[in-house]
Amino acid sequence: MSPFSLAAAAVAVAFVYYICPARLQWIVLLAASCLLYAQNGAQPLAFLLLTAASTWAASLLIHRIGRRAAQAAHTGGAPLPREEKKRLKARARRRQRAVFFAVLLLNFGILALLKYAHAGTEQTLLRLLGAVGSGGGFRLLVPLGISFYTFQSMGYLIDVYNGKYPPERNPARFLLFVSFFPQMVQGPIGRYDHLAPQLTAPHRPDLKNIRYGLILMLWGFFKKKVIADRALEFVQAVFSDHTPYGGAVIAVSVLLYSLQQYCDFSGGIDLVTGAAEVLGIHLAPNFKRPYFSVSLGDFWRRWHISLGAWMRDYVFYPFALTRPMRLLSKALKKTAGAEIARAMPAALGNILVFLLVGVWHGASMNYVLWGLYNGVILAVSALMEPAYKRFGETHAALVKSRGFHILRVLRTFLIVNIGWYFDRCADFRDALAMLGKTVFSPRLWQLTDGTLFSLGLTLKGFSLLGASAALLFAVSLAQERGIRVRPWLDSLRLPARWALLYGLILVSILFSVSGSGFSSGFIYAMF
Amino acid sequence: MIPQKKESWPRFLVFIALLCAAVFLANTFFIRLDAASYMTLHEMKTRSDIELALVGSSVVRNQFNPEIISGITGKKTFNVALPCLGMQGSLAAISMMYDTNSPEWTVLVVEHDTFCIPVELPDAQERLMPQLTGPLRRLRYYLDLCSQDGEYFNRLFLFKRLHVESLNDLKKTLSLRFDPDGYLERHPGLVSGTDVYQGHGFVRMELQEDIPAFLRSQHLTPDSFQGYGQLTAYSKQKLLEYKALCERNGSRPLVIFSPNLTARTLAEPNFVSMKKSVAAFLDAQGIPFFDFSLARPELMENLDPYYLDYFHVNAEGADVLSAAFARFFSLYANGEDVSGLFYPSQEAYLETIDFITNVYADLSYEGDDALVTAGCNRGPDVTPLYRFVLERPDGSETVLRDYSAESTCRIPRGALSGNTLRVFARPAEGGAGSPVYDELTVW
Repeated sequence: MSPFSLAAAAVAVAFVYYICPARLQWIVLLAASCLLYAQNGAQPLAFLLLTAASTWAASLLIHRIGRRAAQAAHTGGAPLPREEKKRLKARARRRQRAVFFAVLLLNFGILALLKYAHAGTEQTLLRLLGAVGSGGGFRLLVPLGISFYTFQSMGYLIDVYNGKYPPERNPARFLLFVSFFPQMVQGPIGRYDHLAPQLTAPHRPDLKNIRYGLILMLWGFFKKKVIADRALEFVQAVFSDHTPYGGAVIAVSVLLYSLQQYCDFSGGIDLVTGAAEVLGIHLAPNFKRPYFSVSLGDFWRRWHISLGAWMRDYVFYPFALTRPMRLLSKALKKTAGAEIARAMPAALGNILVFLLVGVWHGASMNYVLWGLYNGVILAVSALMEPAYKRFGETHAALVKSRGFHILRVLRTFLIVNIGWYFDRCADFRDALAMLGKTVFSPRLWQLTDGTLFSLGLTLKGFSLLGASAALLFAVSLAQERGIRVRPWLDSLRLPARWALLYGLILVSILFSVSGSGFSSGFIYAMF
Repeated sequence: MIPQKKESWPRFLVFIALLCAAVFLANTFFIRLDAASYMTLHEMKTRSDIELALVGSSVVRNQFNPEIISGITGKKTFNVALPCLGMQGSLAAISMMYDTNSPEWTVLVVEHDTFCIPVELPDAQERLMPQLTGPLRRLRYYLDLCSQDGEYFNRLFLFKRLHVESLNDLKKTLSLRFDPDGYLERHPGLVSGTDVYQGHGFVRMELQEDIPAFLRSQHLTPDSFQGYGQLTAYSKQKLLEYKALCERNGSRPLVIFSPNLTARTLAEPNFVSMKKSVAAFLDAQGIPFFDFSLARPELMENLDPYYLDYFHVNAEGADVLSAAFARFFSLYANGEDVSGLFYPSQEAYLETIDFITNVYADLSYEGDDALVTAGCNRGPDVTPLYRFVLERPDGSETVLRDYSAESTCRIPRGALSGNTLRVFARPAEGGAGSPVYDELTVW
């Protein structure tokens, strides 16, 4: 789904949504979501329905097993002996666990099969399932946003399994939670207790929501179509074959990739969030100006926040609190001291999480290395945290100074950008080669001999990109300083406010990239 | 806390309305108009006497001369034609023509891209959309276009691609909009380089092309054209819409395939299946269809000098084609049997080709040797003979191998450097025309 299609769909759905009786509004959302998803074909829709149905049924079953066990413990006149209660509870938990893991396995299995299975493996599996004859010819399509809806559904299942909230009884309402259309392309990964009540609650047309939603969509569109898509051609040119270029051009391409990826993803999320806001639904933020981060940990708390939070709640904490980790911590306390003992489970947890995030991006070595790179840096940071703390205490004035803050931001920016080499290169050997060139063979003359402007971005293109990035930076800086942009816009006099908005609309239309064959979908839609 | 001013619904709606109005105005007045296209549609809207309408893209606008056709058929002919117009634009233009005209015949002229690439290029939309009457017609056309390429955004904001860039552009656009007849008086013929607008939707292309040189520059091989398979469901639906539109307005449909350069017909094996698919579908639907690339010489000689490229003819070609069409149409409209004017099949036509249209040579290296491999497009019964010649910058020549059936030639790599290699081909059986050649310059 293109940015404009998403915006148009949101406006069209909002129109029907608000003229419908309040009790039918959620049905409009569900119908629109299924209809829009069905545009991708019947097969992706079938996978979505399978995930929704299996998760919904499993959550109910898990809940019912627990309730029956509780009822059994209290039925009859005399209370059951404690041992018997314990036995019943343990049996129920075993059954719950079996259901839980079966559905977890099913859904992550589908995700793994569709995302990672080699075509040959896929065909073998299909033949075993009887879905295809020996002649082949049937291919499984990767459903749009499969990672996002799988993670969202599994997060819900884990929460129900852990008794965080009761399961949704209405399958249609649950399907809406899984399939809510703005989120379909690239998330964010919503939490049931935050999102579901909003989806089914009636909403009156609220002008503030609609205006703010539209402004956010406009801003997202600007980021995606004016900035991200403009940088794309240059990045593609260099990363597809870096051999003719020296480190300086490669460094420019990595910087542009940084800009492209951020604007592509956060612009897309702005569109999604804005579309939901038009409908009166407030999604949790997924970005918080990550390039202003002072550490890598800070960066990942500001970038793709919903995935980070999912990993934290459903992988990191459960892992760090496992029995082996507690035993390790205990053992380290005696040998390496309390600080290391406390930090080690977190360090290992970080490595595991980022390894998983790397594999989530794709089953290739470059992503594994990218994940390890981030995980190891975070692990080392976790282990060195006490030392940082002591440094902060002894050099309080320095640490609090603006210069030191900027230095930390730049250091983080550098660390993140080194990681992007591995994220963007299809082959990790290319990433290493490009990194090597950046340091040892910059060929600075390529910045001035015309090479730079021969890669899809002319001087005019660079100027436009620079001006757009400057605007983005100014807005981000204002936000970082606590200014809320949309309320600030509202505080302006009408002519100034309208001039700014019309200006942004005009710029977004005139300078959006299109028609060159490089106009793209969203990067994160493929994850 | 920032003090916020209360926004109201009326103010918000005014903001949106102003935005819509601005986009509409920009799409109408702030795009650079193609004068000939504008005049074509302007003339069509002001006329009500069209009896024979020819609808299509540049293969109509530059190729069918309404004055010649009117003279021979006695029917007032008009070209409802804009460059790059696809089926979507053709249908929109036809429906607009029917607002003021009731032609007896609505002839749809199609070419290979009409069905192979069902997406209509933005160039056509930019010419047609600003002049389409009625918001519903505009909306339908817009949605129809976007359904094929999903370019909702770019097609909505036409001015993004073709906005005026100078005061002169703006002046021209406004003049055409508000005083088209005055504009035509001030710019007689709307001469633009070698194009002359002659009225009735016809643009005469006073341009000559060296077709052998053109073919050499194209390196035309049998693999050059891909993707011409069967008629798609979408194209079928559009053809049915065309038929229904004609019938609703009491006009008779007729589909014509415009002629092609012989080299192209030879080089497009898949094109045959596409045309067969079109013919079969139209036949099943009762829509008459005639393929002018299969015209027998008695009707029209399909000669290379008539062409500007693969499927556009020049002014001389337009005269020949218009006269041929008019003769055909007169007979057909009178109910006479016209099947004898065309070859019964593509194969039958190709069998008459006893010459080579073009040669293509490729160079590869094997160690210290350069291997030249030649091929050619030719009639099915033609046996080619190749001759390999090396020409030096001073004009001197060395014949590497004289005419033989051998299509490859091995020479030392160093001998090529800085020289031009020419590969000639001629039919072993003799046949028409002089030898054709391809050339490679190796630096």
